[in-house]
Amino acid sequence: MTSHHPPETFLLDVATGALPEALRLIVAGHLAYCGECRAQVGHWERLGGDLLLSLEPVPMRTGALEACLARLDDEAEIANQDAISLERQGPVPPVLRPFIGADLSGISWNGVGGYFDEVKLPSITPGYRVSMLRVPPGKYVPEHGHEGNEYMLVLAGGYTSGGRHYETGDFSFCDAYEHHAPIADDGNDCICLLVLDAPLAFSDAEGQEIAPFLSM
Amino acid sequence: MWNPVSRSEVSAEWLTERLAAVAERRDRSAFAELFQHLAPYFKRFALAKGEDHQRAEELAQETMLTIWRKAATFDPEKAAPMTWLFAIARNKRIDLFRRNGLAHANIEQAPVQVEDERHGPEATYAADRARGSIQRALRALSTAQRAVIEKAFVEEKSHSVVAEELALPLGTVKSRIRLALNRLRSELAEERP
Repeated sequence: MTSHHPPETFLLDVATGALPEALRLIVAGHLAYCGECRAQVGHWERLGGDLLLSLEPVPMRTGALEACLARLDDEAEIANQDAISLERQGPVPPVLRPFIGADLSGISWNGVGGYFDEVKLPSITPGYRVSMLRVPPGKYVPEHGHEGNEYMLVLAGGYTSGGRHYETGDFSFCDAYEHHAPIADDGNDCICLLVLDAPLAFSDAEGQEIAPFLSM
Repeated sequence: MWNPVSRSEVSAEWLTERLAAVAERRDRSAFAELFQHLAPYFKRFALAKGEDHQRAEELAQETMLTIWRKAATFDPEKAAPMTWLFAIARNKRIDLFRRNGLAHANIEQAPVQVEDERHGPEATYAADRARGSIQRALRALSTAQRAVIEKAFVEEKSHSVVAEELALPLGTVKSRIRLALNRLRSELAEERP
């Protein structure tokens, strides 16, 4: 059961398709864990379906149906390849696997100044930085603020920040005004999906040391 | 442009029967009926989002092909047909017109990590089944709330873009969205069996 959720407006933007891909990815990851947010998105989609049918239909071109029917034969093969073969088991929600792989232990991490490990994922939306973060048990990310927004989804372990505790499936977001130094729980690595829309602003010397690793 | 009373003559049952025929028997005439009814709506939907006629036509075609391909994944116990069809149309548009070749997050078909009985798909659909209640919820919205929701869905604008276009503070748009959602939820809750 997750206890930290994306803003409600994000759930609307996921349903309408307006959320930038990088944010859609992290929200979709949260949805895999959170029935409450899935239900909300479901309500919006239902509204979208009704809204769609309330529009004035525009006739298709002559021959459109025949053209479409003619393509159905080619579809048989594609349908087979398309079958959902994703296993539910595993630490990575299926929706994230095309981006980060199925297995968290298969990631090639880059050490960041001895504090934590990170691996930057290929950019999927200009202006957004998407990465995976691994913080060893009991370690912390040096205190930092943000020049923009920071979004985080816990995929394994947990952490504490600003007096709040985040566990697997929880979604957190910080804006430009918030400073924090998240600390991983004891016992296990804390692994998160991290999305930034501006660089982090580290406040002290140890932060300055690692800032270059986290360039946009 | 937005008429809260659905123009569509077809029922959820009509759609469900044809989707089942496509899924189970690969029934082309059922598919043709779905095409003739739905494709013109998908085309309008794409035009409303600013696509030109060529792309709108293409998008409607591709959406219909996806329906053919994925009909077996539609589970009438878990979602209303229009909910599922809307998600297909939305994802197809993201698929076709996104700038990069990366796979995108296919929300509608991904198995979930954690099931939740209280909020699971069945619970959603129990609410969903309430016939006409969404229409009532829409009518219950104020004109201002409706304008925000309409822009969001029909023009596919994010809440921050909607705020800009309506020259409203972002906080106002957010609270209208929240009010609209609350209204929607309470309408659905009242109808819950």
